[in-house]
Amino acid sequence: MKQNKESRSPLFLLTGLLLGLLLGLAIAWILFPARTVDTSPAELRSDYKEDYRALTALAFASSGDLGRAQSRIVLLGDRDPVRELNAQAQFALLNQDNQREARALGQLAQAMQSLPPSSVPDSVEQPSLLPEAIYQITEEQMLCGDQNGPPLLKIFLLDAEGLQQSGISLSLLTDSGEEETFTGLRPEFGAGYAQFELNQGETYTLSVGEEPVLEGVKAAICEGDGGVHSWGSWLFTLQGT
Amino acid sequence: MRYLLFGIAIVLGLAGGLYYGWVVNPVLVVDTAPDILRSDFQADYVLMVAEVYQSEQNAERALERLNFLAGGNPLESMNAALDFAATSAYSKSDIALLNDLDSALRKWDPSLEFTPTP
Repeated sequence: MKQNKESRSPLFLLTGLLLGLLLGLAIAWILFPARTVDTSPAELRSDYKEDYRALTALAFASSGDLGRAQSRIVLLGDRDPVRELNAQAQFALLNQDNQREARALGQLAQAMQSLPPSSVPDSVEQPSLLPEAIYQITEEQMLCGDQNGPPLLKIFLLDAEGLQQSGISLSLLTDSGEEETFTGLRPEFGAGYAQFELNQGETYTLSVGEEPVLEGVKAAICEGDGGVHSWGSWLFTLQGT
Repeated sequence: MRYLLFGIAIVLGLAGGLYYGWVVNPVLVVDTAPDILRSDFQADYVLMVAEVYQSEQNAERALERLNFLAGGNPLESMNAALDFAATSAYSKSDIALLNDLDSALRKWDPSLEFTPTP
């Protein structure tokens, strides 16, 4: 009889452990879930996302800054941002009070559509991800048409959960030297944003921290109507694996 | 003795459950409200409102848009955005836009007067 009691002891402890575990999970997930702060626009409820998208379009209509509008739209995490803009524009058209908003949404969709990778000449060499990279490319675009300045490399850095990473060191290495910057120095574009100016004729390797990620980065050249060339920018969204 | 061990087991399980539920695998955040957006996103939202205000010149509409963030205290958002812009790498033109909007909002409704932070 005494032996029976002793042999039940571990089961008795396991029952207590399980009870405690269930109670802890109930408290942590149901009664007092961890308070969430510092979210990104991608986590907004869908109606708030619509407000954010509409305001982005109206701001674009006001400023004409397509690069900035595009950076803001990217923050919403839409799979097909142009489609979302067009769909919201169509919906806004139904309401007489939202005509200006509908036009702005439509204009932004059109402007973003006018910067397709298809305008990239076939001869343009695209940067490639290094096989050992700890990041993956989730978006890659060559931006044409909004360039009055030098060619740029624009980076959005996301963690494995898709949240922008700020304060991360990025360096661009070339034969003639190394440039370093940090994500988040242009907060108007997002905490995970950073950019570099590229020099014509140089080939760069981008590193995140000490880890080389992209190689073969060169100044992008866009081909416009009539074969006119102009500088473009590379836009990469890199997400941690 | 058995009761004591049982109690310790419950406490250990409870601690493990809380750690797992709060730290390792917290409740997934979806469908959030704008008031818990990170401060840089909130500041950029206010900048968008300022950009639109520049062309619309409609302070009432701008206030409505700022309500998106603060839910009733738009000048709090305005103030936070001005502070953030001043301490971050905002361009002079963007700061000017924010200041224009700030002035317009205060002129539009004097009851919303506030004491600027140094």
